[in-house]
Amino acid sequence: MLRPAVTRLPQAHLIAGLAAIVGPTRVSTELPDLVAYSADFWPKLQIWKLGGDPERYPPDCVVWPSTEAEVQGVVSFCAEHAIPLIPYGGGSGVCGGTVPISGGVVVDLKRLRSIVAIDRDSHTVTAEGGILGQHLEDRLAAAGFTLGHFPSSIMCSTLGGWLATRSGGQFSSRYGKIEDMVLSLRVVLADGSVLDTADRSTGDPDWTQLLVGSEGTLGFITQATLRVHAAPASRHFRGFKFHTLYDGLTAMRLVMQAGLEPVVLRLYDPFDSMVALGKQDAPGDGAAEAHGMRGAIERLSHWATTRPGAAGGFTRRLRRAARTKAIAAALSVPSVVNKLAQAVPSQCLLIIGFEGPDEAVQRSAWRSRQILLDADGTDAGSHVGETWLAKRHAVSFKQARIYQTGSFVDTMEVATTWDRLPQLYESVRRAVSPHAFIMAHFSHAYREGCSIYFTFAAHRSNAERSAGLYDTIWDAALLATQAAGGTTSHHHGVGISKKHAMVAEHGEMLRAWRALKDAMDPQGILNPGKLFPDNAGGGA
Amino acid sequence: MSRLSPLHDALTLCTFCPSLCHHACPVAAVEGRDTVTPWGLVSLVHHIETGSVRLTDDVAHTLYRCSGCRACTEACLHGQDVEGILFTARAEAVARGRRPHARERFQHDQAPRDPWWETGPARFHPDPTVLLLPGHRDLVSDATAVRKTLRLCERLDEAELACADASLLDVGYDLWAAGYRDEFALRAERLRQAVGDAAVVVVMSAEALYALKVIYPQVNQALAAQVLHVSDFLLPLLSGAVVSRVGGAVGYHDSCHLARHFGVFDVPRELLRRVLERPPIELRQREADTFCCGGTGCLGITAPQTAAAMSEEVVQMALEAGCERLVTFAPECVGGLRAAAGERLRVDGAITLIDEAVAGDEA
Ligand SMILES: Cc1cc2nc3c(=O)[nH]c(=O)nc-3n(C[C@H](O)[C@H](O)[C@H](O)COP(=O)(O)OP(=O)(O)OC[C@H]3O[C@@H](n4cnc5c(N)ncnc54)[C@H](O)[C@@H]3O)c2cc1C
Ligand code: SF4
Ligand code: SF4
Repeated sequence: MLRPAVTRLPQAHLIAGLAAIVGPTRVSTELPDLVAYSADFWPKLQIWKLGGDPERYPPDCVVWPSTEAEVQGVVSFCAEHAIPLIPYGGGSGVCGGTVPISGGVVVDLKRLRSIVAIDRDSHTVTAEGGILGQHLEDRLAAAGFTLGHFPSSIMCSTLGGWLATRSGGQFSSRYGKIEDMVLSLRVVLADGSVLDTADRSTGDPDWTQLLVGSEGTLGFITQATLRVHAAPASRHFRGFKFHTLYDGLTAMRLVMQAGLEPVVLRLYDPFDSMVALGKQDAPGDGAAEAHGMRGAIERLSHWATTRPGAAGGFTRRLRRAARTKAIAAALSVPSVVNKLAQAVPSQCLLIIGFEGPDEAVQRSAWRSRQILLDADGTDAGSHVGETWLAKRHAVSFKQARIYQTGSFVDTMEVATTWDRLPQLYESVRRAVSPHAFIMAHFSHAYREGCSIYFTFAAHRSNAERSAGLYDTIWDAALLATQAAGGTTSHHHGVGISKKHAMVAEHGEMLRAWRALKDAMDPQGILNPGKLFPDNAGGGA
Repeated sequence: MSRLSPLHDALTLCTFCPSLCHHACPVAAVEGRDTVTPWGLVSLVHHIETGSVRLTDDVAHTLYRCSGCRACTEACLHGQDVEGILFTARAEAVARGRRPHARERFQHDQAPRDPWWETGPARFHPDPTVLLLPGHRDLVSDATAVRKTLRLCERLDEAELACADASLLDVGYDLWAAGYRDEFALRAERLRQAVGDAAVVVVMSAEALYALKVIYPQVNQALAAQVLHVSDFLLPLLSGAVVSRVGGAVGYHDSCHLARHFGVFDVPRELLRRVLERPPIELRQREADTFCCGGTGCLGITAPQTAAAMSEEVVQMALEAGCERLVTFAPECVGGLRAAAGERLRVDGAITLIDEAVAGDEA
């Protein structure tokens, strides 16, 4: 257990002080709590867990305030004693954003979970920061509205976490990312005071946007007001296939630049298409099957070994791996699988979906179909789109199946403008291919560009070697992204895992950030060691 | 080998799952605490199984923060049996001498508060063909329900349902839920013997229904009798009965065991439709998505504040839906809901409502 001891108070005083604010049952130093709150879903932590180390960075204690006033009390108390504070939402972050690498107090905000108001005239919702995404959407649906924000983690992430990481949902092409939805915030600052951005001038500067994406380093988001939309009357989802990835990308761009507003527009690369189409084949519970990636590797192997002239060591090794259903074995030879994936004559699947008033949906669906067919797409039918919609969360359930084999899996969401997208895709693939099996899809499309969502999986015989490989993969992928002119963080945030990449990405502006941080959090107690490199905490 | 070893694969699955059923868990919702999500609890069991975390009393205590409501199983694409995992982990804790809650707290052999056989109709038979098993909740918490059930049978010309000595026995569900497996097995054997040759056993409690139909066979104590929930028993009796329909805004709360463990939604609603002026009001969370009120899984004993907060959540949903009265077919739900509702809402077992509607001269 690595544990930088920066807490300046004896633990008994710390507990007594916090208990006086939130009540004795809402402060814990019990082992089960310290274990649960020592990690988020950053895969490096999962690797350590695989190796039998589930609490490498435990907090000193965990608190569960129930009101904004209690959050203020906790922050004031910790500020007085210079104790690190880690805002915690759903803990679904994948970059280590909630990991207490400097110890300190984890402040779980999920007891702040009320809907304060749904304004039916203005089409806005005001809710507390700790509300789980699915609960918020369910309550909005019951009132006839939708926020339009559907990250794959909607079941396990919070409104405050979304705002703190500039989250993007599956329907972002129409509704935008969370920063496009938010109107104002209430934030508890490092001195315990509350900033309500709705009280400020609506002119520039925009304090709301300054705080969105700050990943708990500038304050605790206790409440937010966001725009909502009338629940859609109609939906139309459809699948198309393209012979090459680049045909598909061109088609995506044309759809966006024609001024259409699909809720979903995503294109899978050949291997991810195999996985996505495999999911389409699987009736019922896709997650109960073997991991989709494994099924696709099996199909890939079958193709490789049965095509005319097939031979060679790598296909034989792969066939053996697939035959024994050993995903771990296949992931131990990533370059083999990657080579095959590149050669596979699989078509690329594109999913497009519209929602809204019936007539508008029909019109957009018809118009987009023309564009996609003109761009050499083949109409795969509405059932393909509808199956995608119905099973879109299944893939998240499959992650655990990979870990069950002792392997690890991660995702990386980068973005750039359309002109640089092919180059970005190729360079990241090339950089990662020697180390991990890699596949991708293109989603979160805009008029000017798009995000690429890479999934990579790899295997090593033990946790230490896996962790080393994990770092190698990320270093290679981040460098390749930056070299190709992409941003390394489209919607997962930065946390610990990408903070060093921020130096190159933000350049001179780092000085402005440091000045802002010094002004707003002079003691550096808010989520130290995250977002940008600082002197606290170091790396993990 | 520990009881946990055979669960290794299942434990790993939750441990490396990004908590995708978090939203469904009522305990996690009211506590706001990741430790008690299905992910948190099963991960803890995983760490105990792999030896990364030592099973101390404190750790064992945490294993009891689950009502066994199966909302997570419903939400999980793998269909993980989190209830089964946690109840097994409690049994492992008990076997290893980690007993944060004493056995006596789960043994319910108190005398009934309402000695219905002394005051009610003479439906006490040494060896009945159709045996009523009220379960400890109705014997102790809402004792008049037994008397009302027997009275209903009188009015509906049902001749066979009767109580026997076995009716005073608790089925032992809480012992099972708390991990006292040996004691549960003894209780199951005693109850099976006491049931004797009854052809049909009618139970009033939904968790007792689950215990008799699902858990008893697991400990080789399956009853030979057909086991029916009282709602199934009453529905055919009500057809053609003269009822004076009960008015008011009445909502229905699905108990976890009826709705999720057995998938029973329609029979209770059909019964209520027959005795209410207006169809029962549906709560925002209902049927397979019902919100557990904390009445089961021995949560009321092991984490009473959490159970109370869960009841409060259901009461809020009922008030939001405009209910003046809330009914349920599971006596285990009634006590907590009633305590949470206070003056804001009347809470009854559905038997009370049906009894009002089928009121004879005595009503
Ligand atoms: C299976 C899976 C699928 C995912 N899919 C998506 C997706 O589709 N789109 C997407 O955008 N992301 C996705 N993510 C990533 C993750 O869900 C998001 O980053 C999410 O926004 C994190 O929310 P959270 O409440 O879990 O925050 P946490 O993980 O608890 O915290 C994330 C960061 O925000 C800070 N923070 C949390 N709450 C507050 C608050 N109230 N005030 C101030 N700071 C706070 C924390 O300190 C931390 O730095 C996925 C993750 C998983 C595991
Ligand atoms: S029950 Fe299913 S969804 Fe919940 S944590 Fe376990 S595997 Fe994940
Ligand atoms: S069974 Fe119910 S209470 Fe237990 S972990 Fe699952 S959802 Fe939570």
